[in-house]
Amino acid sequence: MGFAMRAHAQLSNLLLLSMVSCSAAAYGDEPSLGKRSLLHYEHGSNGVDSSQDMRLHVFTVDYDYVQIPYEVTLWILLASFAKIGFHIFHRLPRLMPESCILIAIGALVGAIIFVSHHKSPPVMNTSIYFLYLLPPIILEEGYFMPTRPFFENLGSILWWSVLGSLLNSFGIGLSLYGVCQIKAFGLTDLDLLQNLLFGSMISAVDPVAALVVFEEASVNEQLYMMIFGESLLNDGITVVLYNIFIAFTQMHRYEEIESIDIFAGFARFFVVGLGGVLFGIVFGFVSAFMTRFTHNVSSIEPLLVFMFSYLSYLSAETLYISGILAMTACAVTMKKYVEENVSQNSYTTIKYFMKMLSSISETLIFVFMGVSTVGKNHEWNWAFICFTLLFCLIWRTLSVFALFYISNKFRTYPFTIKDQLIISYSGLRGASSFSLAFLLPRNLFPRKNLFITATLVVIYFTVFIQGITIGPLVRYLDVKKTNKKESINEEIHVRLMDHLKAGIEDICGHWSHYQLRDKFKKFDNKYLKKILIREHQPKSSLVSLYKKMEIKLAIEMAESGMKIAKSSAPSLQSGRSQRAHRLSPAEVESMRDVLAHNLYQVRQRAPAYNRHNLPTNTSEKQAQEILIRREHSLRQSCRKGNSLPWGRPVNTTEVRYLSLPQGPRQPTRRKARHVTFTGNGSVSYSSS
Amino acid sequence: MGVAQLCPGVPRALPHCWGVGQAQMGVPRVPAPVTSFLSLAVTSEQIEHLHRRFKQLSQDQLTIRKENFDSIPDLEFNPIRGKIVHAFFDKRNLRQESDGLADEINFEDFLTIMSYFRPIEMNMDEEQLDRFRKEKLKFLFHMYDSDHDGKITLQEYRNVVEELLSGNPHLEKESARSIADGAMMEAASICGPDQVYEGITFEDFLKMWQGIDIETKMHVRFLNVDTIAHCY
Repeated sequence: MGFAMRAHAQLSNLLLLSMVSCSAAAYGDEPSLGKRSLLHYEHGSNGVDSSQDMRLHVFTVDYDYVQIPYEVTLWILLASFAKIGFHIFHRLPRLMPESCILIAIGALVGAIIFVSHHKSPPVMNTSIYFLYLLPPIILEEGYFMPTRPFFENLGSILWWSVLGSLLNSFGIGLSLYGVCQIKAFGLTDLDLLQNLLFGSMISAVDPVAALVVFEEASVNEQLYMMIFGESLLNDGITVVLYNIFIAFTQMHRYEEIESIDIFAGFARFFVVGLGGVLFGIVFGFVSAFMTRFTHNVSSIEPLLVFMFSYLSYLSAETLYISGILAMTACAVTMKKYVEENVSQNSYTTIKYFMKMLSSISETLIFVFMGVSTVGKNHEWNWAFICFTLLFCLIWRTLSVFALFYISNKFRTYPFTIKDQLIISYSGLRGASSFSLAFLLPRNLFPRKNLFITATLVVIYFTVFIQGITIGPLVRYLDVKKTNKKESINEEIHVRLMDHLKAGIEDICGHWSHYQLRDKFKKFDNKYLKKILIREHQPKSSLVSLYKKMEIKLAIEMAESGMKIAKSSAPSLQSGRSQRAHRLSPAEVESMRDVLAHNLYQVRQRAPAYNRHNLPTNTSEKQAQEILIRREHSLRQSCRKGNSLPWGRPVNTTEVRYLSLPQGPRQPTRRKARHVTFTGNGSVSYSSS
Repeated sequence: MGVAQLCPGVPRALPHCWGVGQAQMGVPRVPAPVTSFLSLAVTSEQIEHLHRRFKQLSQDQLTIRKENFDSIPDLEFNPIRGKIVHAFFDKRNLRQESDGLADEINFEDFLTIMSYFRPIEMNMDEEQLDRFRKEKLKFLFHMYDSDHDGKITLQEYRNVVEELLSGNPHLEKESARSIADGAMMEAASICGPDQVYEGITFEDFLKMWQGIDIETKMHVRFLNVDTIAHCY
């Protein structure tokens, strides 16, 4: 095992090295090759006859033509190789977050480009970033958000994200302005607006790395949701603030800003934020409605999803309202209904494609960040940078403790000091801060390089130092863990409790948000689901869960090629005579096995957010276990000598899944490719 | 009284507003143990609020019957409405030694039921927490076990699931039944195969809930009195 690992590692190293050398070679050779072909064309156009031009060149190289896509592809491939290597060394993911590797790769590429004096392709300017690089990341965040815990904690999340961002931005900005006033540091030309803008930029958190650590340590749901919700909303809020401050900077000179403008700024903040959410919801409903009719053209379903979300982003941006919040709201709204409507393949496609797109975007941004690091556009000022770092940490801690102190009064389960410590420590900065810094207009910000340098330092510090140490910190503090067990029983019990709580609150004459949720669900079932979901079949989550489990089990069985007696499915076949008979031990055993398999095959519904890969599918291990159990039970039943349900002649009856409409019964219609399920009539239990 | 044993060492002071309300209604004073039992998490304002609510529901009578619960419009849409109302009258929940259903409950019983939904206190010790948890789980168990025989059989489980899904008119009974079957088999895999025949006892029920955090889910927030929505 160790040898194989080492071989893998060596192989990946080799690949990495070859990739790097290829790109280096590409960068190295390029100028001369390009010039050569240019020369040829010039001569040709002059019409000067020289014997070389008249010959047809058998072998020409034209690098300029493909330069941009070629290099972009190289970067992405390089990052993918790095990720492969990263995960092969099993110890590494536990030590540091994946963002570290991406940044390292970026720095490497930057170093190569710098050393070879190559002019890097213009991958990043304002329009490219905001139009192409940012939307996939946002879409992916919104789509994979676990909705139920999010809405249960919505109040706290909103309070914390909105006020936290505002507090951080203004706090850092004002403190830095105070520092800039000190003449000794040579920063007096940075005025208040510039500092405020910098504050809003630097307070954009990107805690994906922290989330991965949390998930691995299985911290409790509330904590996870707070960080997750913050990362989701924080992007939108920061960009809104950024734009408002840029508008201020462009509009007036510093002395001319009146209080009316400040009020307008506040009002704009709300309009932009709420408008974006409303926009997104409308688009989400429209796209869900569209997917209702794509029954026969299922290949365009992913297209619909992506295009509508993108459209919501762009439309919102046209009206200068927050495209980020619009896209997030669209994804959240759309997801519930789209998942019911689309085919299984489309669903998988959407998931993977989304992850892929956001991965590409993030890689590109990090690479560009690395390129900037090793570049010439730096300005180092000890005071500014150190104070920035200091204020970031201080203000985050302050805002966490202040805001949570207040919000704890309204929560039934307040966040402990440990939780608050963790939250304040997980304020990692990432790609968004860097992008915003990079895109500052130079005419308005003559000292842009200073800002870039400061941002880079903060990012490197938080990602490397905080990212590496947050894992041990969480384990050391022993934060309260979650215990998520996915099973039908739990779903039933939790449902029962929800209704029970709502009922008790009705009886008490109370108005709390469980009622709101119930009312929303009622409205949803009565109107929304009828309009937006195919075949007018509103399904409850219990049924969806059960359906998904059955489908998963069927797929597993098909893959392992075994026949089983599906004892629960036959009970679905209506019209079959209900022969009640006592269960034989073999049948009990087989049913137990069937459902025991379902226990660990249920699709992961607990918060599992990782930008870089989907929740790992341990289906291979499970398939093996199924085989082992299957053999075991077969052996047992043979020993007992009971007549096995699957010993009887096989008749190819179809398995009726819950999702299929109850059409005319066609018992010989084959549903799955090579799966044959034996059914021997429904089994009912005699109650004692 | 059994109630007092649950919360030893709690100050036994009667909230003064309680006495006022009682005198008006002519209801005999609630014995101190009840209020001490409740005063851990339920303040005197909340008791007063619940008392007002009780009066509303009972239409100024001393006791509530099942029919009084019909006057709550929001409860109409709750799929497990029947079970909830039933739980109020279930003698096992009312900590009475006998079994079966009471016809009517008075305010003390009302409070007893409400006490199952207290949020947990941060300063509870292990033993209290464990007892608390058992109380809540017992309440849930009684909701499942409708025929009072101390076991949840498959039929009862099916009933529960059918009721839960009854909010969706388009769902077939078959689905509910197979879900209940599936859940029962799951339970059997945890507790042992005999459960399919005999039914799940309370100990098995506890085992099933071993890892799940019920305390954080089963509570009702008693907010300020001012923010109540009346049912009329």
